[in-house]
Amino acid sequence: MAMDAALLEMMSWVVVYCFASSSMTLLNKAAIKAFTFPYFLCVLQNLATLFFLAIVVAIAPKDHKIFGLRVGSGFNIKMFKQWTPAVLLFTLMLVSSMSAMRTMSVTSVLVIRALTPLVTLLVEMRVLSTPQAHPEPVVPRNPAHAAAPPPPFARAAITTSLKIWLSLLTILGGSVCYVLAEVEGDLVGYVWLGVRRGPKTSPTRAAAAGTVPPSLFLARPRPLESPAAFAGEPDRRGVVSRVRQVHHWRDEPEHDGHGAVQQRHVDPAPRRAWPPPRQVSTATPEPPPPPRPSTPHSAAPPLHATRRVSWSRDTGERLGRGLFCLEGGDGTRRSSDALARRICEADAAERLTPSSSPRVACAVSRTCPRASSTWTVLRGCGWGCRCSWAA
Amino acid sequence: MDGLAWLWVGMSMFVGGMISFSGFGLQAVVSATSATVVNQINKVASFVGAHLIFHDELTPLMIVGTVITMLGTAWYSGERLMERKAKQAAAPAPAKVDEETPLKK
Repeated sequence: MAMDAALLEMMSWVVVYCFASSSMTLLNKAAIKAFTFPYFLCVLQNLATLFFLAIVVAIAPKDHKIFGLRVGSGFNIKMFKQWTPAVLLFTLMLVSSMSAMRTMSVTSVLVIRALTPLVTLLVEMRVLSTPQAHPEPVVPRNPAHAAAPPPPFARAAITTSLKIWLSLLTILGGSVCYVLAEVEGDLVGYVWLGVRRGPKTSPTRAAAAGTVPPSLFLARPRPLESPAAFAGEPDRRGVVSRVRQVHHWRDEPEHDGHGAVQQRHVDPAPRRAWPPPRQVSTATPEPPPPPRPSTPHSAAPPLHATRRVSWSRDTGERLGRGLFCLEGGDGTRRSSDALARRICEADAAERLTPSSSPRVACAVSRTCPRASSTWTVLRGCGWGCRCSWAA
Repeated sequence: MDGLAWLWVGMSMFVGGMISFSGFGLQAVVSATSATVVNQINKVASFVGAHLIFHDELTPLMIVGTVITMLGTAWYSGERLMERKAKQAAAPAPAKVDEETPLKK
């Protein structure tokens, strides 16, 4: 019977801890989305912890094997100084985790958080020195050194084995794999934007020549599309890239590295045909397609600059996987299912699977041949960055 | 904030206050190995729950990365656990104090 009671107690603690630990992350995510003040949310959680502590202190006896509270009587300034950095760092950890939850997915936070042991180990090996008692007294050979006091601190031996390093590298590899998948669209988008800076790095030319600019390999090796895809032939998935037949491109201003693409004051005047004339000059230029029925978006003023924006459900607008938003230079943002369908009716319509991913990972700039403006198309990028659109 | 938001915040506060005490309780009744296993299970449960509740986007590459990360984390935890056990085994046993044992003369 006693055995059963012990087993029951153990199972109870396991179940309670599993519930608390598993739901903590999920509830934090839900709470920070509903209550977008991470600092105040941390304060509320800590107040709840204090409330629980008061209950435990009131209920549990002082000599309880788990919750027996021992309050030190020697609290002084030294103790305060000793513990303050730890408390501040712990608070920073809580708030940063909550802030990350606000903009990232739970999976991303968990995967990146798994890198903590690696970072800790590196910092520990590099920085941290811990007091270590010398097990054996050192007898100096030189008597003159006998009076010298021993060093107060000696760097503690960091116990790492090859297996530990390998396990940490496995975590790192998995995290890199995950992050690569998550920012796939960004990388590809940046590569394409980089390639589109000038004719020398035009993707069409590179693909036609059978070579790939080195920048592509630097960013992410990915096979370029065949020129046939630009000529309106069915691509590998059998989808006709109709929009690419009338795509134009032009030089765009610099964008800043890994950050958000900043395109300011894009002059709509200079235009060059894309694909290059070598592929389309022999064919008769297509007449402009007939105008479509008037839509709310067609009546909007042309937008002459684009910039990438972070767009998530937290901002109030609905933009999930497969849904698109556009932002123009005048600050106009457009996001709707109808617009998404309109954008992707060319060759990406089959990937429009509405979901609720809060991330926006892809930025692709296209030049609209009809509206004479440049739009930035943002979308979740779970399928890679293949966004064509029809104006 | 609507009622649902307050519900999430309230549950977050409740779980936040409960997790530390339940952690102490767990560590008191199970071994370190079991606690490590429970933590791993919790991580998997969080992944699954995030995907089911928040519809987190998971491409095949993301799943592969997540699985590799989880395996690496489990491996690291196991190695640290074995290292701790080896240290405990190598440490000299504390001298037994038995005041009732008569001294040999």
